[in-house]
Amino acid sequence: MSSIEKAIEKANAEKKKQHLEQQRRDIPSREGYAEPDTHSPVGLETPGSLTDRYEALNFSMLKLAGYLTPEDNNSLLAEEFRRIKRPILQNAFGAPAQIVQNGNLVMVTSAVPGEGKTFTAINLAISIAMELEKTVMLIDGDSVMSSVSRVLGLSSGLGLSDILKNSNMRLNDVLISTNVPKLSILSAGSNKQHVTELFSSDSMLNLVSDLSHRYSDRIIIFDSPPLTASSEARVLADIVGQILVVVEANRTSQSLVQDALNSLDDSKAIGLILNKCLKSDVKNYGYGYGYR
Amino acid sequence: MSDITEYLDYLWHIWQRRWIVLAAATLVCVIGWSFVVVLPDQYQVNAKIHVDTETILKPLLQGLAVDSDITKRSAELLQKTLLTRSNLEKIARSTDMDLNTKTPSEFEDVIWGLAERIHISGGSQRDRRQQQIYSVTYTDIEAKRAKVVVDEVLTLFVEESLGAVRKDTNLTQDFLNKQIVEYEQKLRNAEERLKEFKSKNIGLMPTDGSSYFVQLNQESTQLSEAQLNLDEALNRRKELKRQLQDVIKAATKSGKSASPAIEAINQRITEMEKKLDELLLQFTEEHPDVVSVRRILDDLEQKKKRETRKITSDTAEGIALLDNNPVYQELKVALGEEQTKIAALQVRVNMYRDNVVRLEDLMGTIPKVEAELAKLNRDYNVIHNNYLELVKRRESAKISFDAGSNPDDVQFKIIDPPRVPLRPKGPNRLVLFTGILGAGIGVGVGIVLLLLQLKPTFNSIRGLTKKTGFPVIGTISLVTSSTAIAKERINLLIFGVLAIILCSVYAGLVLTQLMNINLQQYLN
Repeated sequence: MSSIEKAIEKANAEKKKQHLEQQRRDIPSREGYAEPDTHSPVGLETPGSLTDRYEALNFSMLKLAGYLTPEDNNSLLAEEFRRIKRPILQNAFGAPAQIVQNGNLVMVTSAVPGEGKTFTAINLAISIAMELEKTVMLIDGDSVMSSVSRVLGLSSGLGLSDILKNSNMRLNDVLISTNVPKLSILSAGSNKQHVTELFSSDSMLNLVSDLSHRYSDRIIIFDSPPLTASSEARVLADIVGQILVVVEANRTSQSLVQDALNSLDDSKAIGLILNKCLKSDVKNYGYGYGYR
Repeated sequence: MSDITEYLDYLWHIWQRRWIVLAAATLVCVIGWSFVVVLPDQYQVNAKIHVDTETILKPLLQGLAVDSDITKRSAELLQKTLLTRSNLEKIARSTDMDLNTKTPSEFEDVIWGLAERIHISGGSQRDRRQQQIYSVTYTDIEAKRAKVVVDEVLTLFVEESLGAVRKDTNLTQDFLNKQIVEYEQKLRNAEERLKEFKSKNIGLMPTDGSSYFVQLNQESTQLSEAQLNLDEALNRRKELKRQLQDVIKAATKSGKSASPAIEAINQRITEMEKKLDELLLQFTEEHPDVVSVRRILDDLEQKKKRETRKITSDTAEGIALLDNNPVYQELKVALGEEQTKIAALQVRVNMYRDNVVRLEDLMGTIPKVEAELAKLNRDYNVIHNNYLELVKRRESAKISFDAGSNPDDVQFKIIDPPRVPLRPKGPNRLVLFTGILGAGIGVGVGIVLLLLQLKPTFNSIRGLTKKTGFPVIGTISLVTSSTAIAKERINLLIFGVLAIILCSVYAGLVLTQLMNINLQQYLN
């Protein structure tokens, strides 16, 4: 992945320049996205508005690495994520949303490392960002690995943990807007100490509440550490409303998965995603997903 | 269909964890192959010997099994008899195997090793003639020593057999001699008994028996004749006596009437009766004269009676009368004759009767005697026969011994003498190498399958949701990015190379075996 990182970084500067120009010229993005300012007045942050940070994602690199890109419409991956995001969006905005609290806060986790959380989180974010009326904020909740930043080739900088620590910081200072118009990213942050405590602090609660209630059409995806690895995941699990557990097919032992699931709160909307499957089980689509 | 997919699944899983398989196989192979290379060569020596079961084996193995067993399990039994503790020690010492042992337990091990590795087999049942072929086999790491051991075993075989056969012959002789002496004694006793019996029952021997019968008949007939005669004579006497009585009666009757005395009395009686009649005309019964007359009459009557009576055969008068009667005389004579005849006949009859009784008694005892005699004869004959039989056997044993079924002359033929082997028999390294490779792979596969059992994973939505109870929102197919593919390729390459290395080592080892290259010389 390091070669990709390097390449992505190289291309970053260029894209950044491009995007800034684009913004100034007010050219709508590919997906027919509406005017940037339609949603809200000046606020803390506005999707697509001029945040302080902007990073352009290198789609070709992402594609090489196997990720979903906005250009990718018809691949198997695109189809799979179309299916996956439906119930999630339902729980966030649809009828079940009455029952699911904080349904627009989604956490992507797994039992053990390496099952594909980041992969899923990023792809899910991009897939939802393709929706006509939804915006996505992807938050890297893994302060140790910072995989989201790494994969997307974002420069390591200030992020979630910094905001939580430093009350003076504004979200717009750290939020990253990208060349995917409806997608903004909050990296993990430079501070790697006491992250669990930060996550369970009031400032986190306030931030999250603010994020979730401010915009009715925004969905917030947390890429979290594995459930067995740290306590951060568990704290996050309490905050969010939907929990997606990624299970790697043919590798993760069933008992580990079961243990991880047992540690979750039943009152949340919990769903599983079977990753790295060998055959596309499109027929055996999941049962109803909802409030459990 | 589902079975095939299950197997394919397993194969896929094994392939996924191929590194485990490779690692396990390599480990097992490295250890196993080195071990096999280091194993010492085994040299086997085989010798075949041809042995006559009847003369050799039976005496040798007697006491170990019933006769019929000997032929079936002869090889087994041979092994037992020959490989005794002392024999094995002998063998160990003669081959200097004991020189290397420092402790008694090491020596024990050597002995045990010998006992285990010396095999005696053979005695095939298919050979109808009792001559059978046995083979002695021994395996050792030293070729020369193996041969020496087999030599020793054969020598022991011959020595022990000869000894056993000789012992057996001697035993038989002793036994027969003892038996014969016993029987001689028995025979003498029987003869004695027979003699005694014969002398005791001299007249009663069966040959005399028929004459007794004839005699008895004779006596019986004579008896009945005599009896008949006697009866006749008795009858005649009776008749004569009766006639005599008649005569006497007649004679005395007439005598009585002619007697003067009686006449006188009769006269007086008549007179008295006349007087009585006269008196009665005058007087009654009570008149004393009547009474006295009556009295006198009575007296006279009585007198008459007396006188009459007197005239019988006993009184002189009677006798005188009778003597004058000629008939009476004749009859008397005849009666006398008859009387003597009867006496004689009686004596005869008694005599005959006694004879008959005696003979009958004798006849009764004869069958008993006969039976007793027969029994004694039988006993004697039996003893006699046994005695003859024993003597015959002894003679034949002597003859055969002298003539040449001589233990020293025994049928031992070494068909295949033991030779020092030039090439080792084992161990079969080729098989071992292959086996270890197979085992290594097997262990690897086994570990993988075990892991699968112990730590199962998910590979379907149904399985996942069933086990966990949570809904599965969707699946994401395995993305084969170019980087992933590249990684996979390198992984495969390395794996392939290592696997090829392992296989070439195996091939090399196999080659050494096929070309009979001795690996051991390189080690030393």
